[in-house]
Amino acid sequence: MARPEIAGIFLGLLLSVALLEIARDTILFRLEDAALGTETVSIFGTAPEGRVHCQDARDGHLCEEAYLRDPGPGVLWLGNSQLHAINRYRPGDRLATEILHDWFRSCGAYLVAYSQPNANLLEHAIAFHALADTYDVRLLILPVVLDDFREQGVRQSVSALLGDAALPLRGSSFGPFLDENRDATTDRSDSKEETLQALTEAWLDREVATYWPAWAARDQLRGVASYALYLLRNRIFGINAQTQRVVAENAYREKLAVLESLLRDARAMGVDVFLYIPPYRADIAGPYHPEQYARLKADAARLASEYEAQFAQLDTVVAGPEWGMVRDSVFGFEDYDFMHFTAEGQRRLAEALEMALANSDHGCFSTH
Amino acid sequence: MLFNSLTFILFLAIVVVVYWLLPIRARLYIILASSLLFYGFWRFDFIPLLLFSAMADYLLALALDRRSGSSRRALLVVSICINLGVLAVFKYLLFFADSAGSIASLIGYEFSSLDLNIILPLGISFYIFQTMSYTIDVYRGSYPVERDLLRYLCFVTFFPQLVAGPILRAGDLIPQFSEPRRCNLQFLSDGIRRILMGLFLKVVLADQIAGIVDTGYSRDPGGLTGFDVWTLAFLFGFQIYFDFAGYSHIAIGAASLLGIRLPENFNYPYTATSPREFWQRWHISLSTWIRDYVYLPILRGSRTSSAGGWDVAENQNGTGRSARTFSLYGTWALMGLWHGAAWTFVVWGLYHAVLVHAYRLISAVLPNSSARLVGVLGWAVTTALVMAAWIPFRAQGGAHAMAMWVKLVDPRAYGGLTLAPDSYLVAALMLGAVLLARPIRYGLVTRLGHHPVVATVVYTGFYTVVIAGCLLFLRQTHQFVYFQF
Repeated sequence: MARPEIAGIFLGLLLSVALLEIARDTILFRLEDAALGTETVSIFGTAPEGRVHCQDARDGHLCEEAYLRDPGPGVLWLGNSQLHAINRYRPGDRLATEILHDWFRSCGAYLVAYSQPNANLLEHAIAFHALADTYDVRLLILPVVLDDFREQGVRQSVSALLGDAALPLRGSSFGPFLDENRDATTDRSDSKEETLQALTEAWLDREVATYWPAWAARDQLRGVASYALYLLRNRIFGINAQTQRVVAENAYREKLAVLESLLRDARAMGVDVFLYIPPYRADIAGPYHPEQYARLKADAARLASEYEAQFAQLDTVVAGPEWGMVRDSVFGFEDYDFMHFTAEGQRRLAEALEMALANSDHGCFSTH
Repeated sequence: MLFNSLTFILFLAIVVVVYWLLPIRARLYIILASSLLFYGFWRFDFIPLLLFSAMADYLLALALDRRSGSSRRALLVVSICINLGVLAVFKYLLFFADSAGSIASLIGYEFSSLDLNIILPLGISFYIFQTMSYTIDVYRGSYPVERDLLRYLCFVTFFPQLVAGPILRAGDLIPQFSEPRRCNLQFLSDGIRRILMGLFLKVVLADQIAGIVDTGYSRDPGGLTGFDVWTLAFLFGFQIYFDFAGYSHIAIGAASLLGIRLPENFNYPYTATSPREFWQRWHISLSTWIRDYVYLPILRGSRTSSAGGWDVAENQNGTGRSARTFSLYGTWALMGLWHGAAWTFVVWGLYHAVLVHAYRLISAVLPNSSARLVGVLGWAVTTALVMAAWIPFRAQGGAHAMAMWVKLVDPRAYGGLTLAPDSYLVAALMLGAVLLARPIRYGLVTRLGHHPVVATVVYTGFYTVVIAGCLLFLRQTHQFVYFQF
C-alpha cells in the first residue's frame, strides 16, 4: 500500500473523530422534532391528573399513572404529530387534546391521547388494541390522514405497547397485517441474548460511551445523518412540501383494509368510533392528489356508515393564517407546513370536534 | 465472535500485539488459543465438535499416508463419511426428516415429525469442507501429510476465516505458519485498510439495506408489482454481496495483521458478463472447492485444479455431453444444499445450473465477439438473471419465491411502484456504485499514484467517510448472512 493511502487512513481517522465531535456539539437535536422544523414545538398535554397525552411505550406509563388517579370511561384519541405540535408556540398555549380532555371530564369521561410522528394506520390499530383495556375505552377518536396510508412498518416503541398481548392479537382481524410486518415488530438485535459476546459488547459499549460522549450520542447522530441525507435527496430531486405524492394503490388498499379491520374489531369490542378528516391547509396548493384525497374522504365516510361509526369532515376548520412554515434544523431549508398549526388552530380543532361530538349520538358521552 | 463488534476490535488488537512479540513457534499457540476463544464467544460447547472434526481428519490423514492401495481409499471414505455425517446430523437431519415425511404423506403414510432441537454449529459448513479437502489432498498426493498437530489445528481453526471463509486449502495456509516473518508496515496497513473496507461494506451498506429488504420481503407478494420485485431482488443481491464481501475483507485484513495472506473471495462479481464469469468472481473459494472436489471428480475423476470457474473440463474432448450435464446439475444441487437445508436453496442451485448450461450452449453457437455492445448486453442479462436468482435465497419459502418470480414474468404486474420511494433510489445508487467501483479501483487509483499530494487528499476524504461511517454504524443489528450456512 502506498504512503498516500497510509497517510489518508491516519488523517481520515483523526478527521472522522473530529467530525463526530463537531456534529455532537453543534447539530445534535431531538430527531423526532426535526421534521417539525424550528418554528414548531412538540408538547404533550397535561391535566390536573397528570399527563393525558403520550407518545408510545416510552412514556405511556405517565398517562396510565394519571388515569389511575381518577379513572373514568375512556376516550382514546390517536393521531400523528398534528396532535402534539404547535406552530409559533407561546407559553400557555394549549393543545386540542387538553381542551377536549377538560370537556370530557365535565361529563365524567376521561380522554387520553397517543400521537406518533408519521404514524400509520397499522400503528394506530396496534395502539388501540394495546390500550383499550388499560383505559376502559368506550370511544375511539381517529383522524383519517392520507399520509397515514403511505407510511409503512411498525416502530418498536409502538409494538412494545402490546407487551404480552401481541400473541393473541395475531388471531384478531388485523393479525394478517401484523404478520406482514413481523420483521418490523420484532427486535432484530442479537445483543439481547445473554451470550459472552453480548455481555462483553454491552460492557465495552458502556465503557467507550463513558469516556467518549460522541460514542454515547451515536443513535442521535445516526438519525441526524439519515435526516440530512433525506433533506439533500429532496433538494436534489426538487421535492418540497407542495410536491404532489400519490399514495401507491396497493399501499392505499392495504391501509384501508387495516382501517376496516380496526372498525370491525372496535365494534366487536363494544367501542364506538369517531372518524374525522383532520385539518388540511387550503390557502395554497398542497401535496395531496385531489382525486385521491376525495376518494379517501368518500372511503372513510362509507366505512363509517358501514360500521356505524360517527364521521366528520374537519379539513377546513383551521384557516390559512394559523398554518406556518417549517425550517429544518440541519441546513435551514424553509418550506410550507401542511401538518402543524398554531394554538389557535388547536383551539379550532377542539371546538369543531366538540361540536361534532355533541351533535352525534354521544353528546358529551351521554350514551355511557 | 462477531467481526462487527467492539469486542472483536479489542480482541484483534490484543492478539496482534501479543502475536508479534512472540517467537514463531509460540505464535502458533496464540493463533490456536485465540481461535478457540473467538469461536467460544459464540458457544464454548461446540468447540469439542470442531476439534473432533479436525482430529478425525488429522489422524486419518496420518494413517492414510502410511498405507497404500485400497486401504488408502477406505480411509478416505471413512473421512468423508465422518465429515458428511457430522454435517448430516447437525445441518440436514431435520430437513431430510421433514422431506421424507412430506413424501410419505403424499403416498398416504403419516409420520410424526422429529421433535429435536438441533443447533446449527457456527461455521460448520466451512470448517468441515476445509478438513475434508485436507484429507482428499493428502490422498491425492497434492499436499504432504501434516505431522505437526499444532500447525494443523491452526489451519483448521484459524479465526479470521473460521466461521465464514474464505474456505482454505492446506497449501494456502499451513506453509505460511512456518515462514519466519517480522512485523512490517505493509502487513499492518493492508490489514487495517481491508478491515475498514469490510466494516464499511457490512455496517454502513449491508445493514442499512437490510432494513429495506426485510420490510419488502415481509410483504404479501400479491401486493407487489414487477418493478417492486426486481427492486427487492437487486437490493437483496447488494445486501448479501456487501455482507459477505465485507466479511471476507475483514477476514483477509485480520489475517494480514498476523502476516498471513488469504486468497481473495470476491472480484467485482456484479460486473460479470456471463454466468460462468460470475462464478469466477463470486465466493471464489467455494466455487473452486466444489469444482475441484465435487464437479471434476464426478465428471472424470480429474485431479486438475485451476483458478476459478466452471469451464475447466467443459470443453474438453472425451467427456460425454450427458455426463457433463449430469455433473453440472448434480453439483449445483449440492452447491445449493450447502448453503442451507431447504428446497429453496436447491432451487437456487439448479437455477444457476440452468444459467451455466444455457450459457455453455449459447456461447458454442454464437461467434466469439469482444464488441462492447455484446459485453454490455451480456452484463445486463447476467446481472438481471443473477439478481432474480437471489429471490428464493431470501424469500420465506418456495411458494413465496414462486409468487415473486411470477411477478417478474407477468406483463400485467408492471403497474406502478408500491415500495417506499427510497428503495428504488438506493437500488439505483448501489447499482451505480458497484459498476463504478472497478473502474475507480483500476483507473483513478492507479492514476493517483503519480500525484502523491492529490492522492493523500483524496484518500483522506475517502477514509474520513469510511471511518466516520464505521464509527456511527458499528453495532450488532444483523448477523452476517453467511453465518447461517
